Amino acid sequence: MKENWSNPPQWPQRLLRKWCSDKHFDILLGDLLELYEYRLAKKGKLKAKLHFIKDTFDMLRPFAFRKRKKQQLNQTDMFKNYFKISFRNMRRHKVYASINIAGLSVGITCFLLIFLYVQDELSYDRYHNEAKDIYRIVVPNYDADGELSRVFSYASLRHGELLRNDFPQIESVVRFNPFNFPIIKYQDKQFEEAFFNLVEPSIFDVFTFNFIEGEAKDALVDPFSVVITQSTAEKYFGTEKALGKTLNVLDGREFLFKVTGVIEDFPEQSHMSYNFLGSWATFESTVDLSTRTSYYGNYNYPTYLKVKNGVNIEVLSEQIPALLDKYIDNIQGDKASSRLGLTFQRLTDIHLKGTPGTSGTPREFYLYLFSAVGFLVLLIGCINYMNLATAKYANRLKEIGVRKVMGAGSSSISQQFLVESISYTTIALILSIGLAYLLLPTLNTFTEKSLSLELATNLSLYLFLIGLVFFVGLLAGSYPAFFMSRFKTVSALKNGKLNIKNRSFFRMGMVIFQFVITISLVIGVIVVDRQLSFIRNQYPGFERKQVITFSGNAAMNNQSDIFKTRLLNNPKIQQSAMSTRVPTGRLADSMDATLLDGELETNVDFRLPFIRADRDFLKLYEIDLITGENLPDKIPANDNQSFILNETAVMKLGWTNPEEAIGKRMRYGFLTGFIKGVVKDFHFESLHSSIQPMIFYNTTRAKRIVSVKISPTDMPETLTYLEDIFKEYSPDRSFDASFLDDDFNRQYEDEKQLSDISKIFSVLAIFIACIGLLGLVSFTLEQKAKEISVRKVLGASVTGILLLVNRSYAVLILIAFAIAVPLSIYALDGWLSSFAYHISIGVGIISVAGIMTATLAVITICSQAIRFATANPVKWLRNE
Amino acid sequence: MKGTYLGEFEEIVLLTIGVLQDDAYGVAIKLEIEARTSRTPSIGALHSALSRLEDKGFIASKEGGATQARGGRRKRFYTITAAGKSTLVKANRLRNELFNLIPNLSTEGLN
Repeated sequence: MKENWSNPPQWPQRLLRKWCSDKHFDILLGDLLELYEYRLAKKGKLKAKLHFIKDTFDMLRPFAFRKRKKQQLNQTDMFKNYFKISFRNMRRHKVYASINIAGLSVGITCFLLIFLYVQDELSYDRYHNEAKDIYRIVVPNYDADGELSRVFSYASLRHGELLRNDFPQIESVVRFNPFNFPIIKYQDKQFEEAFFNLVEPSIFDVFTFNFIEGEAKDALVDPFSVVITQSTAEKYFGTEKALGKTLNVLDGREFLFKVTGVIEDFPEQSHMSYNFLGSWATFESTVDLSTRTSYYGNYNYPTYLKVKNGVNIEVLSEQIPALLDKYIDNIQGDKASSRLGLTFQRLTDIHLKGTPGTSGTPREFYLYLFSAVGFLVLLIGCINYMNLATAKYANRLKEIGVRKVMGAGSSSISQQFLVESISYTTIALILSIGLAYLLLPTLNTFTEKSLSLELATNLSLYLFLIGLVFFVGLLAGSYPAFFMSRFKTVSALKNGKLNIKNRSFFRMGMVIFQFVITISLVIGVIVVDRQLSFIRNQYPGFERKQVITFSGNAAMNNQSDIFKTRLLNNPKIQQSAMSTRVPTGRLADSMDATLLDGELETNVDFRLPFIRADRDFLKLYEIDLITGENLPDKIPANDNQSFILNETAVMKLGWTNPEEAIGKRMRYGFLTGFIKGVVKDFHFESLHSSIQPMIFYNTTRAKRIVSVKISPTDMPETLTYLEDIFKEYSPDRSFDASFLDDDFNRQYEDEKQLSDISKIFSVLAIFIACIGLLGLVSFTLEQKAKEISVRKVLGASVTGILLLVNRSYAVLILIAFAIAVPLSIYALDGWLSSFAYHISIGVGIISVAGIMTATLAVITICSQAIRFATANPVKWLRNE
Repeated sequence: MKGTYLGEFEEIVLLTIGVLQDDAYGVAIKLEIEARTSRTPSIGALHSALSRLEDKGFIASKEGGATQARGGRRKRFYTITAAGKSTLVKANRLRNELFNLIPNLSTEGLN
C-alpha cells in the first residue's frame, strides 16, 4: 500500500506488533486506528498523528504484553546436562582446558591478592567511632611572596588551644607531645621504647580505644600516669595485673610513671601506633607551657580534633584566616594568615594521601595502579577464554546443530555456554584460592602486612568470591554464548563450515587488546626500573659508601674531641663527624634568617633549614666546597659565627655567584656572623624533592648523630670496636648503627616495592597473554593443517611457512604497539612527575619493550608452528 | 485470584458498558465516558481497566467481525456478567445505605 500522508504513521504500529500479545493486538490497533480517524476529522492530521503515537505508547501496559511461553521443560536436568557436557569437553580437549583454566586462575589469583591488598589499605583508621569526623591539623607556612614554603603535619602548642576555645563546632581537640626513645624499666626488665607520648585526656573523646584495665575517664588525669597497650603490659608485667604498677622512664632524667590503664593494641591498620600514652598533666607539671607561645615554628605537637556530627569542615576552614589574624601578631610585617595557615586532613585520608609536605608518591597512587593492573590481568584471562572458546567453535558445531534440531532455542544454547564458562571459572577459582594461599606469606613479608584469606573473619571476601565467579564467568562466557547461539541450524549440521570473516575480526581485536595491555605493562616495568636505578645511581653530591651513622648522646657531644680521637684510634676508622642530621634525612629544622649590611637589615623571606655540624662533616661526606673555607677548627662564639651556604641558598638570596656571598654578614636565629663558604648543591633529601636552600654552622649545642667512615676490611671488628666505645658513653642504650647506603635506598623503598609488585603482575599478565596466544595459534594451525600440508607438497620451505604464520600475527602486534605506546607514556608521566629528578621515556625504552614483546610472541607462535611446518604432510592429507 | 474490589474508574467503565449495551467496545466506551463525565481517559488506561474487569469476571467479551472502517481490524464487544451486575447493585446499595445514614444531610438546601 502506498504511504499516504493522511494515513497513521507505520512505525508505532510495528512497535506495537513487537510487544503486544496476539490476543490484544488486533483489537487495540483497531481502536487506535478508529480513534485516529475520529481525531483526523476533528483536529487535523498533526494532532491526530501525535495522539496516535502517544496512545500507542500508552498501551505499554502489563495487560497487553506478549506473555512468555511457559516452558514446562525440566530445567534442572538440562543444567545437569550442561555441566556434564562441559566436563566431558574439558576432558577431551585437555590442552585447551588447561590453558583456559591456567589463564583464568592466574588472572583470578592476581585479582584476589590485589583485592586483599586494596581492602586492607582502605580500612586504615576506620575503626574509630565516627572516623569521618576526625581530622589532623596540618600547618602550611608561606614565604613573603605567598609561595608555600613548607607544610607540617605537627602543629604548635597554641594551635590546638585556639580551635578548642573559639570553635564550638569542634567537639574535642587532642594534642600529643612525643618524646622519643626513652628507656623503660620495671624491676629487672628494661627495654628501649620507640615513642612515649604525653597526651591530653581528650584523646579518648577523639579516638576510640578499648580499655582492658582501668577507665578512660580517669586514666590520664594525674601527672605521671600512663596508659599502655596490652602487648606492652604483657611485656613488662607478664600475666600480672598492670594497673597501679610503676614504670621507671629514663630519658637522661628518671621519672616514675604509674600505670592507670591498659588498652587494646593499636590495630595494624592505623597510621599511628603508640605503646605508651602518658598524661598531659605530666608535661604541664614539668614545663611552664605559658612560655611556649609561638605559632610560627615550634611545630612539635601532633594535634587531632573531632568535629560535631554534621559539621562541614570546609565552612570551618574558611573561618581560619580570621582566627589566625585575631590572635597572632603580624609576622615580619605581614598579616599572620598570609604567612601561615591551618588546614585539616581527614583521618581516613592520612594513610592513603600521605602526610602533606613529605616527599614520595602517595599510597593512593599505588592503590589505583594495582587495582588497574589487577583488573587488566583478570581481563586478559577473560579474553583468553573468549578467544579460545570461540576458536574451537568447529568442534562444537555439530553438537549445537543436533541440540537445535532437538528443539533447543538460542537462549538455551547461550545458557549452556554460560554454564560452561562458569564451570571453568569455578575450577579456576578453587585453584586460585590454593595459589593465593601459597603466595600470601610472600606477599605479606613483602608488603609488611598480615593479609589473610580467612573467610570467617572476612565476610565481604566471601561475597566477593561468589560475585567474582559469576562476573568472570559471565564476562568470559558472554561472547562465546552469544556467538554459538546464533548459528543457523542447517549450516551447523551440513559441513561444519561457516562464514569465518566477522568471527576472526572479533578475535583479532581481542588479541590486539591483550597485547596493548601486555606491551603497556612491559613499558611500565622498564620505566619504573630505569627510574629507580637512575635515582640510585645518580651521584647525590655526597659520598655514602662505607659510611656508618648512629645516634650519640650528650656525653659524646660534650667531649666530642676526646670521643672522636678515641674513634680514630682504630686505624680502620678513617673519619668521624658529628651533626644534627645526616644526608638521606629530612631538613626539618630552621630558624629565621636576616642579612645584615651595615644598618640595613633584610629579612630572608624563605625557609632556610640548618645543619649544625662540625668541621669534619663536609670532608667525611665529600661535599665540594666551591669557594671560601670549611667550618673553623674551634667552635666559634655565637656572635661571631661562620656560616656555610649551599648554592641554592646563595641563588635564592639574590647573589649571582658564590663568591659574592663570601664575607657577607647575617643573623641566623640567635647567631650572628659571616658567610665563610659555599658548597656545591647536593641531595640532602630524596630525589623526590628538589634541592632546598641550606645553611651549615657549628655551636656547642647538641649534634646527636655521629657519622664514621670505615675501611671496607674487617668491618665486623670495626663495628664491635664502635659499639664498645658507644657503651662507655651510653651504657643503657643499645648500639643501633646503620649504613648510610641502606638509609639512602630506604628513601625509595615504596618505589622499590611498587616496582617489584608491578614486575610480578606484569610477568603474570604476559604469561597469560602468551598462553592465550599459544592456544589460539595452535588451534588456527590445526584448521589450516591441510593448507600447510598442500603448500609443503608444492615445495614450500619450513621457514617460508613459519614466516607465513607469523606474518598474520605481526600485524596485530604492530597495531597493539601503536596503541600501547602513547597510552603507557601518558600513564607513566604522572608517576614520573612525582620525582623532582626523573628520566624521560625515550625511544630506547619503547624499542626495548617492543623487541621484548615481539620476541615473546614470535617464540610462542613458532613453538606451535614448527610442529606443523616440520610434520610429514601425509599425516594431514591422508584422510579426506 | 484477583480481588473482587471495584475501583472507582472501573465502576464508571462497568456502568458505561451497561449504558451502551450492545455497542460497548473500546472507542465507544471511551467516547461515552468523555461525553458523560468531564474526564478523558486514555485508551491505554481504558483497556487496562477492561482487562482487569474481565479478569475479575465482571464483564465478558466477544469479538465482532472485521469492518472496513478500522483498517480491517476487529472490535471486541463487552457485556456485563451476572457477577458484574450484582457487584454494581451491591455497590450502589451500599452507597445509598451509607448515604441515608448521614443524619439530616441537608439535601434540602441542594435541591
